[in-house]
Amino acid sequence: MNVEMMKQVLTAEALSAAAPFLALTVGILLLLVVEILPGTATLRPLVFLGTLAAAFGYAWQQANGPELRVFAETYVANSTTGWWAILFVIATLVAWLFARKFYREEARFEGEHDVLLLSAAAGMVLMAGSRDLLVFFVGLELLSVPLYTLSGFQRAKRTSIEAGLKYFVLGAFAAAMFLFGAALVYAGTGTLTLSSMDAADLSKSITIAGGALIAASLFFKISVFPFHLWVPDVYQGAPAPVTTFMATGTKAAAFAFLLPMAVLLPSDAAVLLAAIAVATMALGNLGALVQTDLKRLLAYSGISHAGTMLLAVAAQVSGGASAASVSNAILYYMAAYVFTAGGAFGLVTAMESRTGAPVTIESLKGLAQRQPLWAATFALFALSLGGIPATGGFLGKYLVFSTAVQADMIGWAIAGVLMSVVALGYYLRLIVAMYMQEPAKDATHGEGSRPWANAMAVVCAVGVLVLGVLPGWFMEHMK
Amino acid sequence: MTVPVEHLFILSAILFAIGTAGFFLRRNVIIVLMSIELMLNAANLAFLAASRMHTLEAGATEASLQGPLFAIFVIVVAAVEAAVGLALVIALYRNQQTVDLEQVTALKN
Amino acid sequence: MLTGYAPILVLLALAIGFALVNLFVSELMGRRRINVGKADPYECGMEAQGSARIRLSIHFYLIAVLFILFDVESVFLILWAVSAGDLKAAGLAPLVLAEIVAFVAVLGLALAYVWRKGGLEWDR
Repeated sequence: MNVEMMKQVLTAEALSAAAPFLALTVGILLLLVVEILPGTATLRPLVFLGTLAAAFGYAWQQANGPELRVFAETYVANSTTGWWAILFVIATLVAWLFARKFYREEARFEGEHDVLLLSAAAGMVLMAGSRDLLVFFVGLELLSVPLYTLSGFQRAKRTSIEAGLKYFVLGAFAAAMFLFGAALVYAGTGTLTLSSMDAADLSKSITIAGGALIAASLFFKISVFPFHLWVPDVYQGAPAPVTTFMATGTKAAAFAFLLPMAVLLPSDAAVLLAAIAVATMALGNLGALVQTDLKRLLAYSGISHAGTMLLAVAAQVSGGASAASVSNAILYYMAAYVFTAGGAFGLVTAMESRTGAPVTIESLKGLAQRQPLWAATFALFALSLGGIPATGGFLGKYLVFSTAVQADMIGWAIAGVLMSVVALGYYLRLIVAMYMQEPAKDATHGEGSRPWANAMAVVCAVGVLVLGVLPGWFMEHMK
Repeated sequence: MTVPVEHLFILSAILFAIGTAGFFLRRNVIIVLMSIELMLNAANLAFLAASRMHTLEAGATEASLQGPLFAIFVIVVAAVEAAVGLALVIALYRNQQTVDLEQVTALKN
Repeated sequence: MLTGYAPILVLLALAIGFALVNLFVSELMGRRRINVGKADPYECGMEAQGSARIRLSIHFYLIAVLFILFDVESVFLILWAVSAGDLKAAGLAPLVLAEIVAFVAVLGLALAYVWRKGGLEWDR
């Protein structure tokens, strides 16, 4: 036990670096206290929002502050992790607001729902800041275990339980792969901290094998080929607000660690990564083309988006694109995606919550007459997912493909752009259904007013437009 | 007589392979959970073996403690996962009277 | 390299051989008498009643899982205990105490939550 090291560990600097995570942790404990003390249930939303506000404030400080490397270099706080934390807070807020009045039989477990949501958010923050395999693993489990529970939250529903169980079984398998990979990396390098691994150790075959296992488990979390098969099932079966959260948050957190972790991968792996990326895009888009269930369709679309971002990671691994530009591209892409997919899945939540029946393309027909606001914002989200200019989705795609071009991976970039064009096909189909087709006679989806959903849809739409029209401000801040 | 470190690695790799095989071949959820536990414990063994290897390489002056530390975290996480996993299995059984993954097919294309 | 394992191999061969020889000898020399007592799971004591595959109350599961979780969490106390002495000697005693108090407080909060939600009530 190195006592001198321990003395340097718990400093004011370290506390401020961990502040967003600590704020979320304190919030979780306070929510438990609210659950325990009788007569305090009305405080719950207040505590939840206060926690998110505190985490947001600390994350904002980090986003504009200097880089801190703390806890013996196992944890960093810099502008990138600050922005990631801000994204996680927003994703949590969007999912939480769309979850208001969504649950019926499970309404008495809303306290647990909120605790689990905050725990998952804390896990994401920990994952994004970690530069050490052990810290990352703790973050990963802090994210995953609450999500297994949340996926199976509607335990009277067969589909929800199935989603939870499938997610759990495959997630636990991925965790086991990560652990064995981490053990091999530890065997090869003698350390778990990324910054203390030197080049000679990284080129050992045992380290590379471990790195490959770790990468595979991360691929599971970001849902790329060949580890994408769980996504449609889990997204379809999980409660809609949870799906909203998973689609936006989990993917972002895994990417946030995949980028620094990419040093473990040899530059020869870039071609393999690019091939996986393009295969993922192809499979996601082809899968989405034939779906009728809206959650499944958006799940496949999410798979193809993960493939697009993986192309930027490939560009970084090849050594052709700078780590900073790749990190900015993915951060921007993910920011746009949080608002876009958050809004899209959120509107599906709103449509589903009245009847509890699954939302299909059929039930979108004529939505423009019943809910003009929802139809307009949903159309905007579809266009952003498709990468139409003047939306956040377009700039994200542009940045990602330009990193690929920087790295001389022009062929792969062209393949990616072609895939985006294919994707437009099914996004436009949604818009056609909403605006140009008559509703079925017994259409019930999207009736009644839901002020929260309206407000959130507008907020997400504004986010998408601001990211699409005024990128300069974000670019300035992300430096 | 001491056991060489390589043997520990080989044993852990074999355990991990058995766990992986069980995960893919068995259809009973409980057995699948047990296979995952086996994989986690294989990883634990590998951590301890690696720690021993690095300690021996350093001339046993300073023990490499990160491996055992990680193993303890893995034990805790394995317990947490087992708790959540079994709870989901019970929910599944109450809902469908089965623990056979082949029959868990409400979500399909 | 593998010669070091030779004693284990010898032991294994002896154990298997002993079992096989016994089985073979009793088959060869023993007399066969079949009665009800022989079919019992244990050929002594009480008569077995009912099936061994009864369904237990789900409440056992809850208690067992809660026990496992709190039990396993306490493993972190070992890590703390191992390093506490060194850290205290280095003048970090307040930190050492604060760490463990915070850890146990979080566990205590979790226990209070379980209690409040009725997880510890046996006859429900």
